[in-house]
This record gives sequence, structure tokens and C-alpha cells, in this order.
Amino acid sequence: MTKLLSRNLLISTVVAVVLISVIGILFYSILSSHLISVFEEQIIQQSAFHGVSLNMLLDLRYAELTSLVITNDLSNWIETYSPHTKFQNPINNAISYNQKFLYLKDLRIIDKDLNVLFSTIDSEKGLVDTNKIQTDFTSVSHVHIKNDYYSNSPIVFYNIPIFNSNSELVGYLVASYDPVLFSEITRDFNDFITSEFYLVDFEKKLVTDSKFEDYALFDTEVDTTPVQKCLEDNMSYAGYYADYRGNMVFGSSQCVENSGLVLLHEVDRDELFLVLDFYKYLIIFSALVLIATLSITSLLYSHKIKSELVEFSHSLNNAFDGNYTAIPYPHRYDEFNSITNSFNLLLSKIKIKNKQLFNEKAIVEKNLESLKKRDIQKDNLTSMLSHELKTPLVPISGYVEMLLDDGLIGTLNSDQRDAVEKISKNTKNLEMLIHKILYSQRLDSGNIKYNLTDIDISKFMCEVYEENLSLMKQKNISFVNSTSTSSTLNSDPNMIREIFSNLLQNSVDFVPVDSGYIEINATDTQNRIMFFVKDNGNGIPKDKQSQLFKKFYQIDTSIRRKHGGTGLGLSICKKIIDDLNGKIWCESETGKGTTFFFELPNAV
Amino acid sequence: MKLLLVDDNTEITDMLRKFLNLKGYTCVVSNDGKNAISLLESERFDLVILDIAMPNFCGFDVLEELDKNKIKQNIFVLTAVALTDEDAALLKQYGVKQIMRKPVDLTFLLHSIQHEIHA
Repeated sequence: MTKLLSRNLLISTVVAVVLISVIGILFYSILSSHLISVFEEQIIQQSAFHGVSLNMLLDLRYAELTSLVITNDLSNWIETYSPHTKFQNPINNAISYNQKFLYLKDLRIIDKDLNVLFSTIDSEKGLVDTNKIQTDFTSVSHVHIKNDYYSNSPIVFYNIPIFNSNSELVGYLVASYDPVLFSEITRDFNDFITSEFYLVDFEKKLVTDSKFEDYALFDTEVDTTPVQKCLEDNMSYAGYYADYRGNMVFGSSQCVENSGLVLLHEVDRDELFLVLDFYKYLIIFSALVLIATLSITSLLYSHKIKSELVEFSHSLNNAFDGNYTAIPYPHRYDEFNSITNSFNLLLSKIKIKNKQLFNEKAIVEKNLESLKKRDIQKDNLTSMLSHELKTPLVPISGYVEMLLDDGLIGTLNSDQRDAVEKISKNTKNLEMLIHKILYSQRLDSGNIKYNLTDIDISKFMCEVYEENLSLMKQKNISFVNSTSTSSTLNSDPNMIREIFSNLLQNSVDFVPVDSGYIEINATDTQNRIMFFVKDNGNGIPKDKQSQLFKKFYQIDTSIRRKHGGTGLGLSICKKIIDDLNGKIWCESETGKGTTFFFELPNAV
Repeated sequence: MKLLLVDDNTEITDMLRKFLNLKGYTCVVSNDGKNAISLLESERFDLVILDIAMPNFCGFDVLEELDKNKIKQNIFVLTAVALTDEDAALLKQYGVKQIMRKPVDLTFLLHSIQHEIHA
């Protein structure tokens, strides 16, 4: 993956993660608070509903019993009660009332001193007179739930105060009901496991069975916030508090008026929030799935893009097949198409440029051809020049020679001979000059080819000595070859000969007459051969030594006239030595002779 | 002893003929390469002195023609033009015995001729 793509992928993934997390958290918090409030509402509503039912239920009972009191004129009965009337049944068909009234079990009539005057309970019947029945209810409230003396199970007691016509309290009608009366009220009809409906009386005692604790009935004290609020302020309450078990619950209370009962509906807080946990994990899971999907998708797509790019770049590369054939349009993305377009345009431009360059090249080559031809012509010019210069010299030097050959074409007198000798000398000088000029020119233009071979130095120096000996003898010059080395040098022997020829020519011109001395030598010096030509001539002043190897340089033009030198010899030597990667220099002092040294390396 | 002198320059051929006659050699002169060929086809010479730089039919052409016609001849080449090593080798291939540069030393030429013919 390209650096750009992978970096972008990373950034987008991180951004996606952050976004999803933020959204997830937001969503979760909104959802949770909403859900919780929904649950809370639900709980409150249910408890309210139950509260209403309970109220209705109690109102109904009150109505029932009140009608009993009135229809049987129980206030009168109580006031006119005497032990002798004990066998009277104050309430018509009192027993049958427990069939008539739902869940009604027993009825008692109590006087204001809490003596039982009448009871439907058989065992109590006999005790009516003796006032021995002690009811253990002392509450003023109308309803309370107590454990029954006889059956040891809870009973709901409903006290109806009985007033006479003067509105004085004369006694109570006490009805006892089966607690099943409240079963509807305390029935759970929601999905919460820890949900509980229960009743608490004015003494803060549990008066219905606890769902969670055994033997809590009439035993456990429920001194919780809603109970307190109800009993003290007669206000219902909804909120989070610790219940009679010590657990944090969300509960809603209903105060049942005139009964001293508190209806409570509670759900464990943990259970409420359990639901949230479910959603929390659901959201986290969804977020993770989303992130994973995003990442995988982007990875896949970036991989796809990368492979597309690679493929495309290959097709670009293939276009450079020498013909610059335009690449076809890929049937995919617009972006690739536009790149292809630009690329093909570029290719066609290159093609055109190539053609242009090719044409220009052809023109340049044609020019080169004509330049070469001209060059060749120039060479020919040089050759022609040399030819033209030398041609007249042939008959000149020929006839001069014939004249000097005494008797061949007549005899010369001494003056004539003198003259002809002068002609001969100057002709020879001219010859030499032409030769040297042309040779120098050929050297400069690189027309001379060097033939490299292994030279046996000692043998070579002997040859050079022999070749020049007759000239030296003619001039009466003492000529010495002091070479003692027996090495070999890979170089061009003819060129070295040419160098010696030029140097010796110079020395011959400058040594004293009759006492001239010229020495030639070659010495081995670490992979090079150092040659020298030493003479006892006039010497070369130091200030003139730097210019020696320049063309046509002469120490003294008068000397040239006398000795007939060309001024080219040393420049020719230098050129040859430069071409052979050597060095040439001279050591000389005026009046102390001259030694020209030159050093040549192995060419190979 | 009959010699053939081939050079387009008449001054040179005149001078050489004069000298060689005085030295006892018979000379036939040709100033043209083609002409030289026909002479060489019809007569036999002891030596040919041949110039290289000639118009229309140069010394090389002459040698090539001789070689083609399988005419064997003693030849000295006399040239003003500087020859490369390849040229010299080529001339040797054609059987040229000596290559001399103009202007030629007549004494040297005489000695060479004597050496060649009488050797």
C-alpha cells in the first residue's frame, strides 16, 4: 500500500472509531436515561394503579359494612345490650354475610370499652358475656392486618366505628377478611424479577408476605423513606432508596387514606440497570462490528486501488516499447481515463519530438559528412601542398647534383663550383624545412600513427649510433654511445629515432669545430628509460631555456642563418614525446655545453 | 639496361633520364599511368621508377593493374606524398622494392638501381 493510502486509511479508521465511540456513548446515555425513566414511570404507574384499586377496594368494604351497621341498627343494639340478650343475633343472617361479602370471614361487635358483645366465631360465642376476649387491636385506624389468634395466619381487620343518634361513639363493628382480599393488589404483573408489591401498616410492620424473606410477615420493620413520608406527611413517594432488605431499589409508594396502610412497589435498582447493561453491550458490540466492517472494507478497497494503480502503471511502462504505442483506455475509473489521455498525449508529443530529433540528427550527420569531406580535402590540400612544394625541388636538386658530379655534364670552375655548392646547401635547407614543416603539421593533426613495439634498448642505441656515425665522422666530431642498460621499452622506435635525429642535428650545429664531442645514452629508471644527448657546444642561457620547445624558436637568428636550422626540430621532439607520455628537458649553461634529456615510459 | 620512368611531371622525367643516360642506362619515359601500363604490357624493363601522385591514373592504380594482369616487374616508387604505413605495406604487397621520397638524392638513387639490377 502506498504511504499516502495507508496513512489516510489509518486516519479515517481512527476518525471512524472516535466518531462511532462518541455516537455510541451519546446514544447509550440517551437511551439509558430514557429507558430508566420509562421503567420508573412504569413502576410509579403500576403502584398508582394498585393504589387506586386498594382505595376502591377499601371503600367498597367500608360501604358494605356501613350498610350492615345501618340496616341492622347496630348502634341501638349496642346501647340496649345486656348479657341476657346474648343469644340474640344482632345481624340478620350474620353468618351468611361472609358468603355475600367477598372474603368476609367473621364479624364482631365491640363496645366502646372494647368488650366483644357479639362474634361470628363459634369459640368466641361463649365468651361474650365474660368480657374475656381481649382484642389486641388498639389502633384507631380502620384497617389493619394482624396475625389471627386462632388460625395463626394473617387476617385483615376492618373497624367501623358505630355512632348513636347523638353522634357519640358506642362501639365498633369489626369485620375480618381473608387477606386474599389484597391478593390482586400485591400481585406482580411485570417482568421484573425483583419487583415486589407489599403493604406496610401504621406500625411500619410488613403486613403481607415478603417475596424474598421467610417469616418476615408481621416481623420485619420497614422503616424506609416512603413509609416515613406516608405516615408522617401522608404523601406518596417515588425514588431510589434502601428497602427493608437493605438493597437499593427504585420504589413508589401509595398512602391508603384512613387505613394506615402504605402500598409499596419496588424493583431492585440493579435489575433496572441490568437492562441497561444489555443495551450497553449491544451498542459496544454493534460499534465493534461497524468498525471492523469499515476497516476491512477500507483495507479491501485500498488494496484494490493499489492493485489497479500497479496494473495501470505497468500498462504505462509497456507503452515505452520503442514505438511509443498509445495505451488503451481502462474500462474503469474516470480518473484513470484522464491520466491515460494525458499520457497518450505525452507519448504522441514524444513521438513527434523523436521524429524532429531524428531529422535534425540526419541534418547534423549530413553536415558532419561534408565537414569530414572538407577535412579530407584539407588533408589532401596538405598532401597536395607537400607534393607541389617538393616537385620543383626534384629537378633543382637533381641538376645541382649533376653539376657537382665533376665531368658528368661538364666541369665547373672554382667560382662556378662555389656558387653551385651554395645553391646545393640552400636547396638542402629548403628541402629540410619543407619536410619538417609538413612532418610537424602531420604530427599536430594526429595523422602520424605510432607503432608500438618492444625495443631492446642496448641494441637500439647501437643502431642509432651506427646510423649517425658517418655524419659525425664527416664533421670530425667525437661521438660516443655510453649506454649500459639492457632493458626493453615498449614504444615507437622510429619516433625515438626521429627525436635523436633532431637533437643530434642541433648538437652537430653547435659543437666547436674539430673538438666537438657528442654523447648519447639510455638509462633504466624505474619502468622508464631516460635518454640523453650531450654536447660540448655553446650552451643555452637559462633565460632562453623555457621557450626552447616552441615552434620556430631560435636562440639567435644569426645562428640560424649560419647553421641553417629550421627552428622546428625541438617542437617536433616535444610533440612526439608528449604523444608517448614522456618528458623532455634540457640542462645547460652558457659555455658549459648542453644536455637534452628525454624520458619515455612503457606505452603498454 | 632498360628502365621505365613514370611521372606526370616532365621536368622530373627529363632530369632523371638525362642523369641515368649519362650513367649508362637506357630510359623510356611515360607521363601517364595508362600509357605506362600499355608500355609494360608490350615491353620488358629491368626496373620501373614509378611516381604515386599522378592525375587520372595514379601509381596505386598502375600497380593494381599490373597485379591483375600478373605482370611481374622490379619497381621503385618515388613519391612526394607522405605515405602511411598501410600504404607502404600495400606497396610492398605489390612487389615494390624501394620507396624513395622526393626530392631524391641522385647518388643514392644510382646506388639503389645498381644494387637492384646487378644483384
